[in-house]
Amino acid sequence: MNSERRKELLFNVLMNGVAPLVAIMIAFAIGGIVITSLGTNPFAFFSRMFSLNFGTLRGVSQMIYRATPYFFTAMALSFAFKAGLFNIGAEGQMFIGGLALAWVGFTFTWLPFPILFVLCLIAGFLGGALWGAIPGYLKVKRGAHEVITTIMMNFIAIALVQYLVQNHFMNPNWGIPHTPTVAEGAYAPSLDKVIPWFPAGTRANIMFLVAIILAGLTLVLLDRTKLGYEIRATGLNPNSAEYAGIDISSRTVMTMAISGGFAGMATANFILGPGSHYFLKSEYGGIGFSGIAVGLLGRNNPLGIILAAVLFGFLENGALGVQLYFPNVPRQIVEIMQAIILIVLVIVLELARKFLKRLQKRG
Amino acid sequence: MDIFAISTLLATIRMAVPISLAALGGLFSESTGVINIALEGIILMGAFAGTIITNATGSPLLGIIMAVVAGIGMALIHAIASVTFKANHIISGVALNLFATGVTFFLALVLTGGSQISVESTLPKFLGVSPVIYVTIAIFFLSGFFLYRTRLGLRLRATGEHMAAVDSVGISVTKMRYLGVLISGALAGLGGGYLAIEQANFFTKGMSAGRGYIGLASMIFGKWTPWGAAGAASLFGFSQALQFRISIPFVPDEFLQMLPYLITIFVLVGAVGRATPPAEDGNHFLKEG
Repeated sequence: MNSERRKELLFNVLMNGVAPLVAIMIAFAIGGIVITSLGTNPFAFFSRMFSLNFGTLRGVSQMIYRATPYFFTAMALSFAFKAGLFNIGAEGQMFIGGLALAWVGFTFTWLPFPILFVLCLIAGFLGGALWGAIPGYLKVKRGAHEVITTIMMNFIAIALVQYLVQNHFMNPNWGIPHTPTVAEGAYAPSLDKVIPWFPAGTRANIMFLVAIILAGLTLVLLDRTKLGYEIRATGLNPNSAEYAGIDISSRTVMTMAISGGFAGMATANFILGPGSHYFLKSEYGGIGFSGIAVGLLGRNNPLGIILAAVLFGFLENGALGVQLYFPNVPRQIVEIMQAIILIVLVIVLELARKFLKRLQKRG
Repeated sequence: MDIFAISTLLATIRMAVPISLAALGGLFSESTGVINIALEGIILMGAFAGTIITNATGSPLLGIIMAVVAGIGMALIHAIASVTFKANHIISGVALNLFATGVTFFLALVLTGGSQISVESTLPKFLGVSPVIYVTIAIFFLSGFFLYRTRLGLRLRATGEHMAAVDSVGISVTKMRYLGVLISGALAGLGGGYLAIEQANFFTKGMSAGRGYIGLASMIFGKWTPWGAAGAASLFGFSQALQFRISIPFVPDEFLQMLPYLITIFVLVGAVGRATPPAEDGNHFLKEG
């Protein structure tokens, strides 16, 4: 019994601790080599990045602001994963949800603070949920694989959102097409209003806490409710789940809807949080796709996802700030590092799995 | 509105080249049971490598060759991750697509200071179209012959249908899968090189714009056969050609932009009959003992 537990602990440490760390370290090493080849000292580069993020509470706050949307899109991926579904459509779900929540925010302008704010979040969730449910429905009804349909839905969402903003919800004030601004009742309070020791005047807002609360609720849903049990059973073995009387079709659609809903709320951080308060499509590109990497790096568990999202926030916020000091290194270096983390991670995970299997065989 | 004119036909063929090459690439990869959504990133990488090498050497031919080499390089990473290390094929593909997006943008900035690089093709045209188009048609004939009429082609396809059977007669599943994936990389890389050098005359970030995914949809639409894939890719090529040629009153441009993706979904939901993927698609070869 004791050795069983030891094995489980070893499994957890290797798969959820060592493997992600190795992947991150290799990504930093490769990033360092690239930076060196551009004639910049990588240690100076990364330590500047570190001090920009962790040197002051303001830095931490900005890092959290950048991390928050990844949290949502990563949750979208991981939730679908629990039911064995691969939702690559977070990008499109994020756009649809984002426009939906902005629309509520600039349409029902007379509503007071918590009401309009909450309505906006619900609209974002529903917009993303609709966009996620469609591939789910097409999968159960017609057998269309969700990987391809969600990717196609991304492109459709991008064109649709562009059309809607330019033709129906255009703010005529200046150049790049964007929507009117949301009413004050929809503003997400900044974090310093909730956490007293947080510095004022940064963009970090309560969407970060909303994400954490949602992650907690998701855990309860998955581990403590019948619906959660059925979703997990569908993911583990659809055949036996069906045999046990679970309606896997409806669970598939529902899972995709909830997953899409998470992604739909991702841009609330930008639209409702301190800042511009309107929907600007070009600001959000890629967050849905990067969420895939964040979810996998976080090993599909909420705590891991927070850490992974913060790492991505660290990289992004650092990359934005560090440009002032090292203008010869394009900030896309972090995009490369994020991709490398993911590639290395899948390989390291398999190595760890193989190692554990060999250990098991030996006794 | 002359959408049935010869110019529309030519535009359709031009648009269909990268898509059909990606579709054929997907077919080679999935013949051996390896799902390859990295095609999207491979096209992008091919487009970038082709542009840079053409500009550096002045030879579009070398550029096209390097596009193929870059495609093979990307495919090799996919094969290492998903065949040797048995990573989830889709995750590996997503990672490579993110990688290609980041790397090409990054290098474009480092090398030229901008995200768009123009490139001039000096390849001679035959009957008014790029020689790559003839090469593509030849590749389709060769692939049809190779996959269905040669021993190696049969072995590739058998790997996708029943790995254990292939293994039991002493053929290496791993080698077959590497071969399938590397060919897919070469084809999609060629498609990318063509896209930048011959079709667009520039490279720009994210210029693959879903062509790899549409290629995969063409492969499915074409029921995992080369000629089916070519036909489907032509349909998608036609819908892209239309985008630049017509503006229908009351139909916004954005809806025309959606067309290829909408068609893909309609195809997938089986508006045109079910197709069966190779039985081992996405599976890993786990040898007992």
